[in-house]
Amino acid sequence: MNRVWAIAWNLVREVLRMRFFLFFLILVTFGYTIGFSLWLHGADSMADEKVKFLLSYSVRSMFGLLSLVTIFVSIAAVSREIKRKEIFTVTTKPVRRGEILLGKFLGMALLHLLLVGANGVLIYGCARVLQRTEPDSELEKAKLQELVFVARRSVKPPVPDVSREVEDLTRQQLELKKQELGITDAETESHMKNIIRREIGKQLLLYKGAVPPGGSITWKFSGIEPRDRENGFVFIRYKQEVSYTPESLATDGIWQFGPEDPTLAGGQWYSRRNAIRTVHEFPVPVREVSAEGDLYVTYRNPVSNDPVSVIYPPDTGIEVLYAAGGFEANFLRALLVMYLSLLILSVWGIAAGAWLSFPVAVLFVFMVYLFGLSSNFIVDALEMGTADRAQKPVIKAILPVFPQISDYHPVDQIEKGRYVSWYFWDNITLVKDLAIATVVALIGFLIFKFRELARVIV
Amino acid sequence: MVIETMGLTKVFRDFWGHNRVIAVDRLDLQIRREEVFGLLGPNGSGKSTTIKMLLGLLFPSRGGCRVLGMPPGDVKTNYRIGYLPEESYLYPFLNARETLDFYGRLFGLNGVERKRRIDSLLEMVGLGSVARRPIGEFSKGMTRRIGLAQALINDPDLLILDEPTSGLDPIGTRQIKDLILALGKRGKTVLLCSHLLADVEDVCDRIGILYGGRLRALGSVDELLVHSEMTEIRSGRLSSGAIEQIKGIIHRENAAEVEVLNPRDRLEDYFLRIVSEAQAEKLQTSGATLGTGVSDFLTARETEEEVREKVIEGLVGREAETGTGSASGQEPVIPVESVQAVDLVDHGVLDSLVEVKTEQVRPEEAGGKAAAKKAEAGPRDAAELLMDQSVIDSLLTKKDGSGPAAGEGEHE
Repeated sequence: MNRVWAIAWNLVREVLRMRFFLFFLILVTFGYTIGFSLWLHGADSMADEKVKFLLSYSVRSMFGLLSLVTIFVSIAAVSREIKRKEIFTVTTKPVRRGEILLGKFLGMALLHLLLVGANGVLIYGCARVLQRTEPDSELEKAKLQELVFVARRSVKPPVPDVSREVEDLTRQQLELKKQELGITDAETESHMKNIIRREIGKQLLLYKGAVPPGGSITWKFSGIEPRDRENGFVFIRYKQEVSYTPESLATDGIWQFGPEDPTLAGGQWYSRRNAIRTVHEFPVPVREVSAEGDLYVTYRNPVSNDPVSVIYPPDTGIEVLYAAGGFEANFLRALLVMYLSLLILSVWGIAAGAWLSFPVAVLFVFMVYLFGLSSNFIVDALEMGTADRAQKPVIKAILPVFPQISDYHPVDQIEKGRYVSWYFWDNITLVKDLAIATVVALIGFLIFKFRELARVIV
Repeated sequence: MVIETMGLTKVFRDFWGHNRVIAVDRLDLQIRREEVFGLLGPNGSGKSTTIKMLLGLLFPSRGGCRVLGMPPGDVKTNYRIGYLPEESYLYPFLNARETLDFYGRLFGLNGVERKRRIDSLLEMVGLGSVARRPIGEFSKGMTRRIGLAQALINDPDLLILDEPTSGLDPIGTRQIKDLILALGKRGKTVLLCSHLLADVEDVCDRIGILYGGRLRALGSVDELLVHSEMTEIRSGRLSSGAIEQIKGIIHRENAAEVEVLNPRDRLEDYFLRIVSEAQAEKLQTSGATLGTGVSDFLTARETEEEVREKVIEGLVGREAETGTGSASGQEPVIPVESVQAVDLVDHGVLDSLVEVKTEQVRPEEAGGKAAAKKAEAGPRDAAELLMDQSVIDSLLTKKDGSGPAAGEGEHE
């Protein structure tokens, strides 16, 4: 293991002694990321907006820049060593080739520990400085604490199962369309069916979340486990869509909540007027949550809104947030997830560098990285587009191979004060990416083990 | 056999898999234990390719090879191999000390042993004073020196040197040759690959000549180089009359042309003398210095008999100060331990050794190991070889610290 550590430490030393790297580290990561983000945002924002922006921008920039560093350094760690033939003096020592790759990986892990740690400390420090200096009032201060410097878990109402209704309606609609458009071939029919099914599914879910004037809807949120069960608040966060846009761009609403269904149990009503298509949040005393962690929330759409139906889309319309932990631990967990993402990228880089030349490997890993980042967009485009039946499943099968980092990138959670789980294996995409990285590492190792490291020169 | 190749062939193929060139062609070679073997050949003759196959950096297209009885690239075997590639290929961001430390760690040397060897090797290759400078700032010769040091950090049984003297100044070249000789005497096997014929001739027991990937000649240096049909006579200054008489005798014996010349120094010898003098005057240099003798750990683990032998070698080296020459025709690099060993021996033992030494035969001229072997063919005047007792006394003064430090002064 000493040999592996020697190789690892050698890589760290190499990177830290690169003048370009120091320039990059000081001017770009620290100066650009934090300085520019504060300047960009201006001075007239609320304190919580400023801190959110700082966290969001800095963490995104840090991750983006470190991703670039990871790609270049991890590839160079092996491929340039082969190119410059330094590998000759290493592989001819009592070191297994697998140990060389492991050493390089550990070197990257140490390097990232250093870089993510340093950046993390700096970003955290800046956020805390803003927390002290920016709030102009006690209210702003409290808002900052409640919304940003906290780790809140989210509970959403269950999405209603509409699959049977969707299929029935799709069949009916398809028959109508076939007659109307005279569709006869199977491929067009299948394509048409997919479009109809997707559209009906979306509309049905909106319909299930729609509240007509004079009507009401009740959600049950389960599994709420606030840190403080005696005092404090849970927060109802919602965003309203409307069937018809009112001139005032706002709607009235009557809310009721409690540990049991308020429509049956009764309780106090609260009236709120809110701008449409905007996120709103209001606190509910934690005592309204039952001992089992249930909270019922009822919304009534008053007739004063007529003819506007208020719609809460099932996935994005409403959620309950509660404080489940502190900011520090949450930020640390977010850094850990980013660290794991960079390690996944390092594995791809090292494996590519073990069998491709530096420029080709950089191109390859960039492609992997970009495909991974845009995989959701590609899937959506496939659904919407006209790719033929043979292409779709192939592309859909290949896409998950690329690390889908955007799926578990924790910047949104940090910005919004959301809880980042320790149990990162809860995140199936991250676990999938780790598993694929292991396979990639194995392939890289096998190629490196059985490849010639020198070239014949005659 | 330390190295054995059986029909070793390397065919270089292009991208499409077509045979482009045969770099090594059915090479059958055996290199014995404790042998200094020179692999010669012009550029592109397949020397480096052969070495790379022996080290597992390239894989044979056909045939095979075994190194220290194992297939190439075996991790356990690598513990016993030292390798200096043709361009050193070291990490430019590390300094000399860090470089040796890194390679020492790869061999699993513990901290104390690593430090001892690093200190010793840095002094040996004359880079002790620039140990903290990054290798990227080194000249090619200095890089070669540190490259050599890394190849020796594990005290290897088999040392593979690819063009070891390329880029080196005459001092470095000489030190490497002395080192190879010393390692050969220590029972190490050395595979030396070079196109600098003089280097190979000076140090090798056997040589093989490659051309176009095929072995064209193989044998001992004497077998391949001695002209048995010719005779060379050397003597002190003679009068012109004596020369004419000798010419007359030779003419009667053989009608061929006779050439009579005054011998002269080789430029290498002259250069080394000048540099040694400059160093004795303590002139400053930002580059490599002359270096000490062979590192102590490379000469460690000796039997009592070997220690005695070293004392003798040391004494022969001392004799070189008197200008009578040594095996390689210059002041020899005396292993540090040979001086330390003197401290362990009393006057009586030394006297007896000196007596033994009077029986030793020393090469008459510069010209390395091959020349030394030639010289061993006949006895010299015993009176000329008698050791001055003052040399022994001066060596013994080191015991109380009054003399020069161990490892120093041998080149004066």
